[in-house]
Amino acid sequence: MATMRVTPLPEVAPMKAAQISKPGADFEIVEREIPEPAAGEVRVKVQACGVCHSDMLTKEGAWPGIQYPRVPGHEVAGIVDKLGAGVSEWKKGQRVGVGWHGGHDGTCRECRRGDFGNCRNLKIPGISYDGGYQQYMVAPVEALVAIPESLSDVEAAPLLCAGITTYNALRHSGALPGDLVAVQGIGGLGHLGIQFANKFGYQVAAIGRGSEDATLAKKLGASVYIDSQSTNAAQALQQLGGAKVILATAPSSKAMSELIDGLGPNG
Amino acid sequence: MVVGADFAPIQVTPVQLINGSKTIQGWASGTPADSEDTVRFAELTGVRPMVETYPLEKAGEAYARMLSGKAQFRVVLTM
Repeated sequence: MATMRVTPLPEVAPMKAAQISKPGADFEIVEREIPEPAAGEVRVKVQACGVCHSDMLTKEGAWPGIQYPRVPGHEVAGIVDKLGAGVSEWKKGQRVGVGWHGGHDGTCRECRRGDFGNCRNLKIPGISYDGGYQQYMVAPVEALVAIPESLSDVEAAPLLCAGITTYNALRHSGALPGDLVAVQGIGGLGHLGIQFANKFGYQVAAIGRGSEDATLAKKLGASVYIDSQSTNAAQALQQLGGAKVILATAPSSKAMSELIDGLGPNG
Repeated sequence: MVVGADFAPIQVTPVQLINGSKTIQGWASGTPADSEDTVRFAELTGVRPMVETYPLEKAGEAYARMLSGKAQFRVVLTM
C-alpha cells in the first residue's frame, strides 16, 4: 500500500479581523490566519486603524470590483512585523503607517511620469486588498509611511487619510501666509484643516453649523467663526475680503454650492 | 477646494466662476511620501487629531459612531 507523503502545514496562529462578507452586510469579527508577505511586501502588526467615511465604499459595495469578504481600513499605524523577499529598506520593528495610497504599478503612463497618485492601477487598502481592521495586514513597500517617534499610533492613524488630505490640499492651494482661508465643516477633516491652515500662517475662517463649535474652532486656530445656520457664510467671507481658498470638508454639495460666492478674486 | 465626498452635484453658474476668475478644484489625498510630510509637519507643529477609540471587536459600533457625524472627531480602532 502506497503511503502518501503529507507535507505538514506551517503552524499559523490565528488573529482577529473585522470583515464585511458582502455589500451592505454588518461587520463580523472573525478569526483568520496571520497573512504572509509576498516579495516586495511587508507584514504590519496593526496597532491602530482609523475609521474613515470612505470605508462605506467597502461596507456598502459602492466601489466597483471589490472581492468579498473584505477587511476595510486605510488609516493604519503599526509595526513592521515581517519582511517579504527582496525588501531591504524597511526593518522589522520599525513604526509604519499605510494610508489611502496602497500601492502603484510603476509601469502605467502616470507612474512613468512620476505621478504615482494617479496610477491607473492604484491599490487601496481595504478595497483592493485587506486593510487595517485586523491585527496583521500585508502591504506593498511603496505604500509604507515612516511614523515619527513623538506621534502615538492612535494620533498617527487619522493623519494618513484625513490629515494628508487636508494638509496636501492646502499646501497645493496657492494660498500664501496671511491669505484668508475658510475651512467649511468642523469634523474629521475640518478640525485638522483648521489646525494646518493656522500653522501655514493663513487667516482662518471656520464655517460650522450652529454656535457650539465656535470655541473649539478658535482653540484649533481659527481667527473667525461663521455659523452658517444663522448667517449667510458667503456674505460673511466677502465682508472679510473674500476667501483665497475655501476647503470644503463637509460632504454636502448643497453647503458647498452656497459657499462659492464667498471666494475672493482668483479664489 | 473640495475634499468632502458627496455624490450630489455642486451647483454653480458659469457667471459665478467667470466673475473674478474663480476655480473649483477637487483634491485626492496624496502619495505615501506626502503622508510622511504630513506626519513630520504634525510632529514639528503639534497638529494632532482629536480621536475617539474603540477596540477592534467593536468595529461595527465604531463605524456607526463615525457615520452618525457626532464623533469628536476621528474614530480609531485599537488592536
